Amino acid sequence: MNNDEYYDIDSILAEHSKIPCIFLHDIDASVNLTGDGNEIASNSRVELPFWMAKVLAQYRLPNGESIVTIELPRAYGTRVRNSLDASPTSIDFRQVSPYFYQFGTKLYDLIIDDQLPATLEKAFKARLKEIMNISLTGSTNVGQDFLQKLDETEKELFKAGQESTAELRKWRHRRRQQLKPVSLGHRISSQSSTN
Amino acid sequence: MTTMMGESSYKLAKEAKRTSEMLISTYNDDLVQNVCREIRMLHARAEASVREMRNSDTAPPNVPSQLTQIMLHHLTIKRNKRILFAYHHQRLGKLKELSWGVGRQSQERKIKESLSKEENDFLESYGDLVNDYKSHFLDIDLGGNGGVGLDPPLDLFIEVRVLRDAGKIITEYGELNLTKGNQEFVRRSDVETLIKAGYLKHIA
Repeated sequence: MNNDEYYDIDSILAEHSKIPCIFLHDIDASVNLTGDGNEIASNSRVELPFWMAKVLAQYRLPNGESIVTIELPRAYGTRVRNSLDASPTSIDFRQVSPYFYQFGTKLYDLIIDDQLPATLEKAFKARLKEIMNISLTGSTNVGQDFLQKLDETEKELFKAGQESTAELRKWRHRRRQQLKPVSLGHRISSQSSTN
Repeated sequence: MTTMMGESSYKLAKEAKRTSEMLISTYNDDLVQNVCREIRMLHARAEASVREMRNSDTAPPNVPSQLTQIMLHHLTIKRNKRILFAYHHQRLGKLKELSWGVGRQSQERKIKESLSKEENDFLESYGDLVNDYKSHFLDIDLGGNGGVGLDPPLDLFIEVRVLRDAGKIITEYGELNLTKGNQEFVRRSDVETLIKAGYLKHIA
């Protein structure tokens, strides 16, 4: 995590997303992992928030074993990927994973999956065209249902597009002397680069 | 306690996200205190666990479980700390913006009520710093506290609404009668100080 990301609220919220973990040991009820006071048997699957799961997965016990192993979350599984291939613009990211792209990039360190970056990139490009189309033409009614399906990153991009259009309109009507570009920097936090 | 650790801090993070576009938002003292309390409690528990593991003569029943517990406490403490930092960092950024931006005067009371005591202290000291800095360049209006700022004004006359009764004002270009609720079309240079003082409000 680079320094800028520590204070970033979106990064914090993205790390709250749950990820399935398989425990390799028994965990007592007193540890209260899931919050309901149950104990966890070996080889059972529990969904933990990413900020917990990441460290637990990387930790090694004194005898060299791990405590948990991680699985790819359902949001990045085969079914979602197939739907993305079939029709990227019809997936509802708000239901699947509101921080689809940011959480996806965080998974790179933890899970070895060669296809994941390519999948994210392809989906992003396809949806971006639609987003920019709607935000830059200023049509208010068209595309409302697509706008309900955006994840947080896409929402920020959409807002930036809207702001640009509004600024341009003001400039045209002489309410602005100088047309300044909308800064994406403070809206989109820097994300780990794909290889 | 059967609630999941880290719930209060998650609520705080969501609130930070919700207020990220607002300039002023009320300081959520309750949530912050909850998170701090949770940190202290987790810390005490973790310390107790470590001491217990160190002191016990017999081998502990379930090493991975105890280690997981300690790690969980530690991770939650770090997470709470991060969220607390991020929440305050976001608010402080806005306070700094306030000191450089326009229109602080007219809403001073509302601002004071929304902030915690420490934030109010910060706002004052930072405001002093800014004024100190500006005092070196009194010819240039760098913005802040009702000044126009670095952008040159676009129009000679502006629309203003009167917020408080000020009676008859004599300016170099004529008289102005200010009664509360009236809307006037006046020369910008005349009314700049009045806007700063909160008597008038500029209507865009």
